[in-house]
Amino acid sequence: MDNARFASVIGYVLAGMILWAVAFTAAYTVVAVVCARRLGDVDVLGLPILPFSIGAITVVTLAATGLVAVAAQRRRPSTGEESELPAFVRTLTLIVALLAIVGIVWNGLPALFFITCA
Amino acid sequence: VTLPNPTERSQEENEQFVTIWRPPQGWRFFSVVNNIFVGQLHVATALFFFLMAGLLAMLMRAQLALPDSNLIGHDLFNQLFTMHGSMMMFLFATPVMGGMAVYLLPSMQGARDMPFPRLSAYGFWSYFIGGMIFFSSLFFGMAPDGGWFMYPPLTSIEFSPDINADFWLLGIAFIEISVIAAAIEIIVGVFRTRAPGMTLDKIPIYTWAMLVFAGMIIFAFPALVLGTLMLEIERAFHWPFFIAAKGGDSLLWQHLFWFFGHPEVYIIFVPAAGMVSMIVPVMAQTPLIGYRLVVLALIATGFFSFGLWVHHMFATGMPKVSMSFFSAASMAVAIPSGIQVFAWIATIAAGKLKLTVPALFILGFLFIFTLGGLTGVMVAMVPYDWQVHDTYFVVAHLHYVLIGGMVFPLFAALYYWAPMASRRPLSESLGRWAFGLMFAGTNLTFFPMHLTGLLGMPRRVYTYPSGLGWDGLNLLSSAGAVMLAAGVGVVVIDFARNFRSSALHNAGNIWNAGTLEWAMGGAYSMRSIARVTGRYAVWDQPGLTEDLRAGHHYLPAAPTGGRETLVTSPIDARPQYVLQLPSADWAPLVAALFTAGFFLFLIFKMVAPALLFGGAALAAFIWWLWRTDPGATHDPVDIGDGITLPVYATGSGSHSWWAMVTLLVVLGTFFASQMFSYLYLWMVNPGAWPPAGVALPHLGTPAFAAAVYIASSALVALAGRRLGHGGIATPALLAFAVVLLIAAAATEILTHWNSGLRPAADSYGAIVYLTGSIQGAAVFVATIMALFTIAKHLTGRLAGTRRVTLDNTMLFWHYTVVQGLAGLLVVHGFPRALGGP
Repeated sequence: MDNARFASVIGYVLAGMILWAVAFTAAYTVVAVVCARRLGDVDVLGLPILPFSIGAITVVTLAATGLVAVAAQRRRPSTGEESELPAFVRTLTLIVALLAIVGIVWNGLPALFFITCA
Repeated sequence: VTLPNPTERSQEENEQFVTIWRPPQGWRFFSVVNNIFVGQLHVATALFFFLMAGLLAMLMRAQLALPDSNLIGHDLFNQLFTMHGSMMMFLFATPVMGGMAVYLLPSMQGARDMPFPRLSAYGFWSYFIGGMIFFSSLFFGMAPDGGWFMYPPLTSIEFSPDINADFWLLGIAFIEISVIAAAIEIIVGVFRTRAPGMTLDKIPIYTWAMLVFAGMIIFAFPALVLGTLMLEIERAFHWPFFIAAKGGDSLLWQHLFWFFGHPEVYIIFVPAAGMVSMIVPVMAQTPLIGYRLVVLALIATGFFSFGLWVHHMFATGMPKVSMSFFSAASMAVAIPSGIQVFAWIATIAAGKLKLTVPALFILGFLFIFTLGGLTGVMVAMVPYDWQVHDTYFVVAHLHYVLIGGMVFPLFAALYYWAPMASRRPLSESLGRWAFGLMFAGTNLTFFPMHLTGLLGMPRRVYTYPSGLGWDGLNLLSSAGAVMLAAGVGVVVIDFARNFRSSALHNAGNIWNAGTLEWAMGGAYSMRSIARVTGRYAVWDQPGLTEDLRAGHHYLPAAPTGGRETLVTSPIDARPQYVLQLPSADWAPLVAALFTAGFFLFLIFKMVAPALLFGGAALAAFIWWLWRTDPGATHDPVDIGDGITLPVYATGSGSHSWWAMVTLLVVLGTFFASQMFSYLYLWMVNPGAWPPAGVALPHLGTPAFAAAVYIASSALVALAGRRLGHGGIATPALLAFAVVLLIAAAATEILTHWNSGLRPAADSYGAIVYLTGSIQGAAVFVATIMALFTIAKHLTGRLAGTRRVTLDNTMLFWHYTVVQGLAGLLVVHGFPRALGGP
């Protein structure tokens, strides 16, 4: 019970940053593999593979981060029970997610400028 | 408001309590395990290494003061800069922060000790002995000389055939043990031993900072441990992880090193920032502005700092788009630092800052660290980095960040917390001299280095010709270094004159601070454990210090007759059980001595004595652990407020379970670094995975090994269920599981051997055998744990309710099986997924 509550609180607080880490790792891995394997000229759905995949990673992780921020706010401590998220945790979840969004957007921006393995 | 224990405590009880917590006297003092003493020893040792590493820097500045100088030959100069960097990072900065945490955390969060006092002691002795051996290599000309980041191929056996590099690899590996041990203990301590009522939003910022510090260590250090292991194996057995001619890649070392190395910078900055967030509100006599934002900043720093490692590798020719991710993260990490700086400035503005010595050091920190941060943003830009790469500009930047970001806050902290640890506070007048000299000295030493760097002076040269425009600037830097050293010297004098360690008769709360550690009343921290209602308990709860010392809060005295503290729930800090803590014990020191012997003999390639000492260390661990897991030795006890708590806990609620899970996270990160290495080596070997002429073993054998692994886990789970039902089912099942586990691991290694694969032939063989060997090491540990558990069962020390030993073995066992299965999947599945043979 305590461990489940712990996991849920820590999970919420860190969710934004974990999603940033996912975006970062995914983008880095895709570029490393695509460039090492000389696949940089391949097109996906009419777009070069690098901007397409980095853009997709950015959009998906941004959406997920937004969902986390909203979901945390919906848990109102109306009943005062301990299964609810304390107000502190809700606020922290929100501001962590907001900073993560900045990180994810910055991480995705290079896709607009560099599109090759050079 | 009624206090938890409002009645008067008896004199007899007071005396018994003090006796229980009295440290061992005379030569027996070396068996001490209590955090107050271990923490102070840790900090004192780290400060000693700081002075020694500083002396090495002075020698270098003497050499560089004038052009064409030959005061120190290049060989010694190489050793000096390598040892200066390595000692400052591994023997000073990280350990001093760990030591401060061991000293401060329990009293700050209302516990009487860390949750695993013997582990703290073992960590300290490992660090002390390992550090002394590492440092003394200088006096025998055996000190490492490949730079603090030890890049191969320079440090490979071909170009560094002597044992200097081994001193670094094995010495640092040994010291890393203490850092990881401290991190595990801090995580469990912060989450599980906070005073009742200290919910997440009331945790002191320093405690948050140490939580982030520990979290970063458990994700960053395993990469370094793996890197050092791989380089040492390459040097000793010629497994070519980093040798390009055999499919290795020296850049893999750089990835592993900097995946640790960059977070490391923040690993030492985050605790320093936590200290600043404790000191600023007290010096301004007002609560910290932006508590939540500062917590956000610490968490974000912890994450973003893992996205920076490649900015040390901008000049290695990676794709530009890859570098841009790291450039973006390098700029993103400036945001949380900025948030904290603004929170501190706002707090100073909201209150009235008293310009005491700690406040001066903090103002110095803000100035110097901000300058270092600005040059940090400059070198985060790839083109700018290329311009100044490997020049003195980088030396200037990193010293501004590290001295500003870590040394100044640490000195503020030493002056700030000294009255808590000593009979007398440190001197305000000497402190002002120290600050003035250190501030001016730091700027005079390092500011000119920006210019020498821009004028093209490379790092790590032992001399330079005159006439390049570097002469005057270097002389200024050397003069500044003398000033900086003089400032540190004043602090040493101040400590010698005024610091007299005493937990009981300390100078007390001379700053009118508001957090709980200032209520400390002896080696036990708290006579009774506080019921906390606010972030600044001493400010918010009038009379708290006196009430705590009079035993009016929770768990006054020692109902079980020994040392105790409270374990509380991780989020809401509700009291859960009474944790019985150990008293003085020789086992940690003995185990550390033998572990040190093991590593020392390995450095000299003396395998037989090394194994002997390794065996002795193992025996010492068993001696230590044999006495843990006492069971419910006492009836539940009344801690006050009508709360009755058990004195023993099992399962996922126990502090022991938490520590084991944290350890498994460390091992999981280690394994992930290994898989990264596997994929990296695949990437740099297109078309040769496995290399031509090497056949993948038939799928039947890994499938067999996987089935055997799973069967062993099932047996262990069954052994857990049978415990408490009597008979010998539990030990018998465990014994059978051991056989299966060993069989599975051995099958995997033998399969590759029989297929003709050899570890020294190429990087593919090396990484495949590394995966098998590391799994073998996990199996070895699991086997020892199982045999230990069997012995405990057979001697009646394990029962249905007394089962923490078995629970820990089971956790480790299941992890080992999962790691084994993942290894099989990657080694046999990945090349096939690529369409290999």
